[in-house]
Amino acid sequence: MSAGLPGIGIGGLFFILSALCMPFVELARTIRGGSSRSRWRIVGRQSAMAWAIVFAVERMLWLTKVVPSVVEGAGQAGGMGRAAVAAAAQVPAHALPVMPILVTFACLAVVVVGAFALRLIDR
Amino acid sequence: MGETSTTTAVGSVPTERSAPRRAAATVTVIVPAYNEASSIAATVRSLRSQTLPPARIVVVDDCSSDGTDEIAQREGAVVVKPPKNTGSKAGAQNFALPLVETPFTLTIDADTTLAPDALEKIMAAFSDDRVAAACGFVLPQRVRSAWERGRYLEYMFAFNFYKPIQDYYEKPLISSGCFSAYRTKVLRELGGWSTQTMAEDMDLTWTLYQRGWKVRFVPEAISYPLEPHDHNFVCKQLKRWSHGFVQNVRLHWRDILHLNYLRSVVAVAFWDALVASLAVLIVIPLLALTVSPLFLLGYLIDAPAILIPAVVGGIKRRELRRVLACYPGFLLLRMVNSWFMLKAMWSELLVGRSLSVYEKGH
Repeated sequence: MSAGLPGIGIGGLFFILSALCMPFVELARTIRGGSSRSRWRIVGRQSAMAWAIVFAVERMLWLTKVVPSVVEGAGQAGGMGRAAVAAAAQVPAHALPVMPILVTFACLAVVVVGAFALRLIDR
Repeated sequence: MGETSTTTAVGSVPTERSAPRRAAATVTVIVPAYNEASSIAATVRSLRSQTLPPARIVVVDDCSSDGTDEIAQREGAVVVKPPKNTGSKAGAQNFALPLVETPFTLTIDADTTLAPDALEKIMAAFSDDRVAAACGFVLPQRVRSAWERGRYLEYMFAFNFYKPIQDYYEKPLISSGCFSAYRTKVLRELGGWSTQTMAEDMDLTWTLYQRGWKVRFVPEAISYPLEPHDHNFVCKQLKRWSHGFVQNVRLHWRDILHLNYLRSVVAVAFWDALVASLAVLIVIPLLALTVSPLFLLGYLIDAPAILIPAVVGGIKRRELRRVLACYPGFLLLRMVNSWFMLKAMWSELLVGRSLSVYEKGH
């Protein structure tokens, strides 16, 4: 079973960050002499997947900016045409909805730090 | 274990058809079964054809009425039967635990088959003396209905992305009950599988961590359970899983706080079970109705996060088209999952109505 809901929410972000940290953890392990080629293979695969997800989600979020502009443009021009395309073109290539991203990061930080703080209290 | 030690095995103990190889004498398989006549033969056969055959296959026939015992016996398993239905998978497994004479015990659901080398692969995890349990990769045996498709994609995602990361940080969230191996000695020390929650596998996994043991995920060891194919079975399974998760958090939260990484995994899963469920069922539809239909895109926003690991797994298994075709089923399953998560939170934490009756989901 997958506890929680896979994908949606802060769980996805948590595991992406976990995967992105893996090379650094493994590097430290390598320096201590506790690593192996098979461990690096796992690290490489998971962190590559995490980067691919980051890139794809960034494009997806960009799309959520473009789609409303296209719809609005189409509405003004009375159909899907040049106006719609022009409206889409006005959206910067890296226009990300900053606020929702920050809120998600903040939620994750609150949950992870909150659990850690609870541990300190519950000694 | 008190309840199991007073009962007696009444089933006959047939002789194994062929003598297992010497290396195999270390594992006993326990198969809890209740009315599994349609699937038990395939399960036992897949166990018998392992590259590392088990020393014994013990099917616990939990008072079935469909002839599960006869079929299992005919296939060459040792069949034991408690005097009355034990009421849960944990109860059935505990009934067989005293019969195990090998250093390792493997549990597998009666509707699950294994890849021919699964046992051999999973046992490799125990070369580390600190490992008390190991679990494998899970994929639905049958992918036909929308529910099975949803589950297929969920597993392709979770077992290709979440689980290897959890294993890297040495804290797989759960050693799945449908296919896991354990050190028998440790199982006995813990008193077998606890019947306190609806998710005995999660309970045991977290208890092992608390006692300082390691749990491993072995992706090369592949199992194929039959997943719920219709709405009725899906609901029973999700009800059990969601209540089981909440019950385990309630039971173990203090101890989990002191376990690095698992603490964060559980906290994040708990948050998502509550907040993401609310978003899926209430916030997104409300925004779509009151502000703009474009908010429905919120359901697809994480499509890449789900699909990329699943596609990677799909390419490896040459099942790419199946992965893509299963995405709508996944969205459906996630909606229903959200509903059950919220209901479980409400019942277990707010109303104080804890689920105590184990209903078989499949």
